Amino acid sequence: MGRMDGELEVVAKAAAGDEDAFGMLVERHGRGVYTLAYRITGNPSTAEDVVQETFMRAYKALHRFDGRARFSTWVHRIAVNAALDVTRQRKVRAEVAYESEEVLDPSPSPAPGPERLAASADMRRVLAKAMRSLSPLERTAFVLRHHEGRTTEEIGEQLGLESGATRQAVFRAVRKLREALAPLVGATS
Amino acid sequence: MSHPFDELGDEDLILYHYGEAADAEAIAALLASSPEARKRYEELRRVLDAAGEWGPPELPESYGADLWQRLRPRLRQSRVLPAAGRFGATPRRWLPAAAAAAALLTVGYLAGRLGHQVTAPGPAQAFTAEARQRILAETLAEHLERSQRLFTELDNTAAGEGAALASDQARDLLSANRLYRTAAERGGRDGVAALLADIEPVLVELAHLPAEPDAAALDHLRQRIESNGLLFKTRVASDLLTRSLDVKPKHATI
Repeated sequence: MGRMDGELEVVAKAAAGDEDAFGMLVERHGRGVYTLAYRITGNPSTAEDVVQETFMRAYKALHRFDGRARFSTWVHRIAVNAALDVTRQRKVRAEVAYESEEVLDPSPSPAPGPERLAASADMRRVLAKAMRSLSPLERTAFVLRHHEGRTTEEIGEQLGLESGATRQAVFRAVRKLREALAPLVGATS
Repeated sequence: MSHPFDELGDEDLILYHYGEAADAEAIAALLASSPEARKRYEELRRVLDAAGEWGPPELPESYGADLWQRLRPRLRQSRVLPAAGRFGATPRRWLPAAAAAAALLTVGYLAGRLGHQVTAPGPAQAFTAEARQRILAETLAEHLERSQRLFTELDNTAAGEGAALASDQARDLLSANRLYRTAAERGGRDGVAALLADIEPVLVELAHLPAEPDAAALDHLRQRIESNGLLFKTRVASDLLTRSLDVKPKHATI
């Protein structure tokens, strides 16, 4: 079977109106799209909206999928655009995610627990705050570079930025993250 | 050396880390020869490794399948997919309405924590901050879970079936929801307030359903729930809160 167990065939069926085939793609890629959307928006509710919008757009555009890229890459590009659109459309304010993470990760810890757990909890809390401190552009550029493994050129193309501006967005993101996380990882900020 | 340490900046190291440095060989040589440069790079790597952990809470195994079940009606409504028999229309009994008394009793705790301008009732002050916060998390999680169950049942109920009970339950939930939302708004907890504000109009409509609502009225409500993603939002928020109670039962804060 070809790429991703005949994924091209599944995509072709979906493009021809096969509902179950599209459902298969949604089931297979939904989790990855949600993770990407969450990383960009930092909000579970918004991320879910982005996921649904992504697959709505993807279904409508299936006939334009030419198979040169993986379907996951293609649908992730759509997800990035959807996430940025949703972020622009609504002001993502204090979010359930962060609040829930505060529930998980109280600070300061009122009772000493295992050091490792405490350090891990601190890290999650600080990381969430640090990611929230990034601008949407910085966060998106960083997520695409660091988590999605996209090149500067690809990120710039997606975000409509010159290479220099794309690099600067990533640099700024790393600088902010470093300032926030350095004390917890034994680095100097 | 072609790339003296003094000129090696963080940006060079970042590009090197991601395999995009133009002078990668020179940087690699410098890292091999200079303990100080190597230390800086290791520190950067630790920061980036930590940042790699950024992501959503663990999703249920069924997430993909659940997503498709939520998405398919939207695709059909938008006429992207061909129409078919209504999906998931298996009638169920309404779950019994749970008492709203607990929510009403504990709203003082919520107000005391979320809204500093709201005076919590006396008994709240008898609890430690730790206990109060745990009660808060439990109460809000329960409220969201009950709301989610109500929405789920509505999605699976035929016209006229269980509507009276649904209205009763919605009225209970609505009272608590308004108090929680007000407290959250006053306390600047915008995420919680926004979620509760999304829930509220649906509860209002449900609370005012006629005794025997027709199919169109139920469909309208289903569409409101669907279009706002309320099933998922309430489930995620409730799960996160519940999980937090399991993980750190003594130190939950909200």
